Amino acid sequence: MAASVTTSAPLGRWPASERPMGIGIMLPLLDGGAFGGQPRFKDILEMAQTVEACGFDGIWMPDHFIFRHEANNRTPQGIWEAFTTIAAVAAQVPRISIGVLVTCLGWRNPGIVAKMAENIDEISDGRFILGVGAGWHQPEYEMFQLPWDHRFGRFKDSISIINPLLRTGQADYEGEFFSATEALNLPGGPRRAEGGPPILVGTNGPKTMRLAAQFADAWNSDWHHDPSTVLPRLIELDKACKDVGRDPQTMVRTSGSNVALPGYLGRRANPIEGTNEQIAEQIAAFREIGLRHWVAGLDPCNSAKIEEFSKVIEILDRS
Amino acid sequence: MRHRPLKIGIMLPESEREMAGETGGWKDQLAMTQKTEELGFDSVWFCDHLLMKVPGNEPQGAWEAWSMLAALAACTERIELGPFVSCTAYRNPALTAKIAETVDEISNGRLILGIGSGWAEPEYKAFGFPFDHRASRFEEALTIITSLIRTGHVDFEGEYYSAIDCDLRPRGPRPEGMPIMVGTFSGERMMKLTAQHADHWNIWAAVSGNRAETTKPLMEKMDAICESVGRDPKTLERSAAVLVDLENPYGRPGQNVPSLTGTPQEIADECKRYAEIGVSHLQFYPDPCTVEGIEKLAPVLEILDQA
Repeated sequence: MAASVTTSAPLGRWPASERPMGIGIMLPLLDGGAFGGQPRFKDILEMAQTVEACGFDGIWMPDHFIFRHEANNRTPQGIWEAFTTIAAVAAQVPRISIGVLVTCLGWRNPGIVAKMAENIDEISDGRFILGVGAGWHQPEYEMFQLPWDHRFGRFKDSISIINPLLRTGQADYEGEFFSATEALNLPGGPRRAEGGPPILVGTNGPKTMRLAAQFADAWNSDWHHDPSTVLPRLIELDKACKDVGRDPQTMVRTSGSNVALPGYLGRRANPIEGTNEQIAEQIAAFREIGLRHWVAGLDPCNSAKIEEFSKVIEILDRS
Repeated sequence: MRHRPLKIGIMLPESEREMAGETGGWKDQLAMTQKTEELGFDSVWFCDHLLMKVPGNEPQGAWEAWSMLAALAACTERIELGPFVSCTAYRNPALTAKIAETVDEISNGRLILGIGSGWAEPEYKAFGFPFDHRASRFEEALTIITSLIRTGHVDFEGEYYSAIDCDLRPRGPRPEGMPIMVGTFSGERMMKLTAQHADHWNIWAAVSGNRAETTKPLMEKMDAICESVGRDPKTLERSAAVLVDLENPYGRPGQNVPSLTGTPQEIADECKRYAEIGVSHLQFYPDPCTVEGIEKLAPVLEILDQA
């Protein structure tokens, strides 16, 4: 990497990077997503190994149970379960950060989520990042009979239990939707003394931002074509931090963009596109607004395309 | 090899202090699993507990079963793996099916899906799960899980669990899914559900007494239940967990039946008696449960393999 590039020190529990803004790759688990057809586990593992070999800063995977879009004639699109896939990849890929972007907190008991996070942190020797959100794709709620109502309230109860289970190893909380009574998160993983793996909240809503300010290490503002749509949310985030008495500088800010590579399948909407230099320039604009980590949603996404994209990041690193 | 009269698996020490007084972390679980595979055992098993509380003992946390099994599946090539057993009260049943299918994919078709209704009330209380109507809840969960695993689809509206026009996609390496094993105590209702719906029935050590002789009446009871629901008893695979004490056992909190113990020849002879009464798979829970403990059981396999 060029000498001109500044590194970034750890911010709280968030890992250090050799880049001022770390670069993560979203892996496609979905049938008919950016991979093309259905990625098998061996394809996912190969992509993850390529992400690590290319020197990126993070592997991310989404948490969904199924997709069924009206626009796609309600044809079900399958997807692998996130936590077990991440656990298996973490056991085989030795160095890079690996996270879920994001798990929906209404879908699993919060104690189970905290225990899985602790367990994957143990398997990865302290490389897991727990991204959480409230969910949005209604058809999977219907099919799996997950509660669509009170998503904010369920999120609030859940993160109020997960946060102390990871930070201190115990939780006592009585909520409307989830409760824990003298619950212990044992055994502790490799980062128990420092409060466990980082928690990232994915949200653009002011109410959930306040919960992020209260409970999370990091915040993610999903997919953006350019930084102009992130900027107003950064202001909201600062306000949310101040509302709960938190120094905004301690919050890790992240977002992502879809990126069209040659052979674009049209599976990831509204992408950054152009020559390698033009794409690098557009990513640099996210770095300039002070994001600590940025996630690429590549389309198409496979091992060869991840390698191709690393050429873009070489240009970014020199700029 | 392969005159082996029944499969022999190893249960890993999932809870704190179960590895001869130590807590086995990921590297220990991996080392034990790889040793199990290397020595020619047939399977590894991981209990699905959240927090064990035995009166008079410190609370014992446990690693989360499915993330551990997924990672172990990625690091092995031959042996079968299974939760022992996944409690259907702890996860949405359609999600349990999805998790199982994903781990079957990761392992390339080596998962045995062990499920049960759960029993350890303190962990239900700690994490806010309902402890009432466990068999009724299990019955509904079983309906959803078996249908999704075997057909990839379910449409079921129950009192406790529902899944509406729900698809299990993608499918793993086995088009009709992995075998479904139900773990029960000796209660008639759970045994009947097993006879009606499961591929495989598992009997817990404390119920079977760690001996073929005391397991036999349970086998006969299950045969009768199978016949009463119109199932050929021979089509239900049977396995039994066996606590095996080696030299210098650490001891198990709350254990209420004597372990199997003896020379490798004596343990192998008992295994043969299990095979004779129709048990096709045993899950050994060695004490001490360590790499060395697993190694000490390898001579049992050698004897069994000599026809």
